[in-house]
Amino acid sequence: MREFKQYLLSLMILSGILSAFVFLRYADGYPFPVGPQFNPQIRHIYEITIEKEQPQIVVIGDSVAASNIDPDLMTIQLKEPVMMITEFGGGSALFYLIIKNNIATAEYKPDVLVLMFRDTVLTSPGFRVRGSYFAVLDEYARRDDDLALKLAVLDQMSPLEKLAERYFPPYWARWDLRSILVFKTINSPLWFLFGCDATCYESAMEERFDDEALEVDELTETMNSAEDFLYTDANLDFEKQVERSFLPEIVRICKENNIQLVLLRTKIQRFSRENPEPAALREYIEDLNAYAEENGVILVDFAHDERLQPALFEDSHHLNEVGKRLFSEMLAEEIESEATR
Amino acid sequence: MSFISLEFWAFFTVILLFHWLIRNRHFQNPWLLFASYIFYGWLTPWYAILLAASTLADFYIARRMKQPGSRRQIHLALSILLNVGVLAFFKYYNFFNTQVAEALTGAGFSVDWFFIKILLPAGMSFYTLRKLAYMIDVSRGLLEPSEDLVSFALFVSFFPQLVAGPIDRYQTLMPQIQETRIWQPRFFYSAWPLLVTGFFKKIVIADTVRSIVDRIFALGEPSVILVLAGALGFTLQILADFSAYTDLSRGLAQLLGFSTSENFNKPYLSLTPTDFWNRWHITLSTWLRDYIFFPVRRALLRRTKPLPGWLNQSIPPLVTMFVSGIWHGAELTFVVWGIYYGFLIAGYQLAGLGGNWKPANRFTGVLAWLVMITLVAFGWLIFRAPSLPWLSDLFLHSEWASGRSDLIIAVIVLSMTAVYALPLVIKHLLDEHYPRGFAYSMYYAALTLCIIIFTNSVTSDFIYFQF
Repeated sequence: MREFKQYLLSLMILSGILSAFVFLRYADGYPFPVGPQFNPQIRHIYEITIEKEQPQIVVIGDSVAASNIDPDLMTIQLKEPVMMITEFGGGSALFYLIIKNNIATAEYKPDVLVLMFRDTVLTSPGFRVRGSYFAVLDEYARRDDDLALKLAVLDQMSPLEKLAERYFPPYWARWDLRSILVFKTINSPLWFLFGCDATCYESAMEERFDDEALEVDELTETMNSAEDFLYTDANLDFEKQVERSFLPEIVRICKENNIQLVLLRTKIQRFSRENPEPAALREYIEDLNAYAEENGVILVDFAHDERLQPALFEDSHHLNEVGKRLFSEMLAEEIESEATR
Repeated sequence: MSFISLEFWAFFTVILLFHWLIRNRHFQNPWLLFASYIFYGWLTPWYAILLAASTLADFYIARRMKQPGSRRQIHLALSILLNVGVLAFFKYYNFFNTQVAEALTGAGFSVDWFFIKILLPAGMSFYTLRKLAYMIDVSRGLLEPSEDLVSFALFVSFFPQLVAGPIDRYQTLMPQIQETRIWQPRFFYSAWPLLVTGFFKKIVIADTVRSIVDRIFALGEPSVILVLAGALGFTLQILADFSAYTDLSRGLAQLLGFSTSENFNKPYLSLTPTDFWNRWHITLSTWLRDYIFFPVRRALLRRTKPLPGWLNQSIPPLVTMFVSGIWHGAELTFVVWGIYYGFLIAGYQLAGLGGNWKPANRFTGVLAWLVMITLVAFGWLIFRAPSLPWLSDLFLHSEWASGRSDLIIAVIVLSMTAVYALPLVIKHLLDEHYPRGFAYSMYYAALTLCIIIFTNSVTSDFIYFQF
């Protein structure tokens, strides 16, 4: 009893000290804004490239798009310029921001936009938006991109988390406090031994833990467990998720700009004979197909294509060079056949 | 449901409230049993069905043992066959199925169903040991078989302990299940420090250290220095992770009015391998000691043709630790890790450094500790290695350090391990010198604030769920 009272008192004292520190060092006002804020700077790199290259087809996706699609090969096959936009670690929030703030804002508009995805990525707005992923989102977001903040961040927070972030200073400033408390302490030996700062540590990490340095099985396991989020019951429910996702906005922007949207579902090695695809995912794709038809969107589904054999994969997600050529040819054929319909 | 999810705490709040509102054990026990099965079957209901079926089987087999003229050994053999058989099936099926299926396919049989991957139900390894201990004790006449199915089923499935222990014995838990429980404030006062420590160890220490340790052990061709640093990081991670689960489990049990066993007693201060296993995963160690080590040793000593003394000393730890390795999983790394400890225990015993050994002076003590912590960290390296070929490649072909990046990362891992181990060291010092008082309260308040600051990062499952 006595210890617990002392504990509560200590907690109040330490919270008070920490809150005072947060107010003095970081706060502009109170209560605090919930969730992170976008800064006003925005990258226009793809807008500039589109205007310069004037491609008829733009393909957008994450590292899987980079490993699976050869734009030069597609350009030769389709006899139309194809441009790639690949953002490693991208999710639907990032693709939405690039489409909204780089593709739709370009004076020149492509005829076709191919949006590459796997399974439920398009309707999982909370996928790849936290931590360092947020920094990438921020690069393509305007200050007033409230919808992106709402769907990607705020809707993913529990009411308790929102309350804590709004009113409890240590929670609101947790990233900064964590940085002071731990990261600076941890990095300090590097100064003494190597004269090395956080940037040098980060580049060492990037150099050493490049995907190619990882064991394929471990990499596959890591990638699969990082993507478990896409296969939760909630995320496999298309009807519920679609209205909370960026998909309707992406469709709307494409329609407004006379761009034919093609949703390209890629094949991954997550499921196998030993670990079959859940029935809910099949239902999800059927619903997505119906949604695409209703909205004049083309859905190309290579997820079960027998031509993409396991030998063509570098790991569970990315194709090798042979696979890349085959995939690019398959995609070009699909686009050609859709164009002739 | 993970103990650190909001979902679990919503569930637990409801269970706790009703548990204390009921105020009668005849209703409390069915309520807790119901809660345990909901908890266990939350994501995969058939796990709960399997648990119920195996519980029923053991309940009735144990009662049959008591009947006059009953052949206890046959009933015990049946129960062991059932428990070990089911556990072995789930644990080792995936290890063999692909090879068997490929062999059958090669012989022209269609065996698609053989390729189906069967997941080990979480916690099965733990509740199997709990039931086996009960069955063996009943067969030995040390226990009277339970007459109360609900109480027995609750003993087997008590949800704070179901998924990763501690493996409390019937003698410890059953008397508490069968007594009337009335809310007392001391339950809460015993529980809160355990809960705070558990959350802190899991959220702040284990999951943060894990982020870099996992990367090192995922490297295809790591350098030796990187892996050694990673092994030290894992040494901290596994202690924090597993003891966090135990702390949370004990805290939850306390809130429900149960006092359960400690599973860790400063294991990294051990001076010998025997000492380590007396302090690490204590409930598993005592289980292995009572049901594997002692019977093997007795069997050896009773041989009509006695073996040489060194063999009598070496075989029991080797067999026991081999079983421990297999129990941890169907990976050769676990088996080698178990045998490694078997050899260490036997070697120390033969060198006269057995369970009762005490250092002659402080210098010897420090030296013994340094040797032991190195051996423990090396053991964890074997345990965490992705495969045996990976491990042998590391020592036979890998470079010491493949560049400046390796040195930088190794320093960071060591620095991280030291920083995150600090709260555990402080806790140890507080326990030694200020077991109560304001410093103690300040410590827990600081841990709570750290938990708040470190939440909202990705939190993974507890490592011991997989066993």
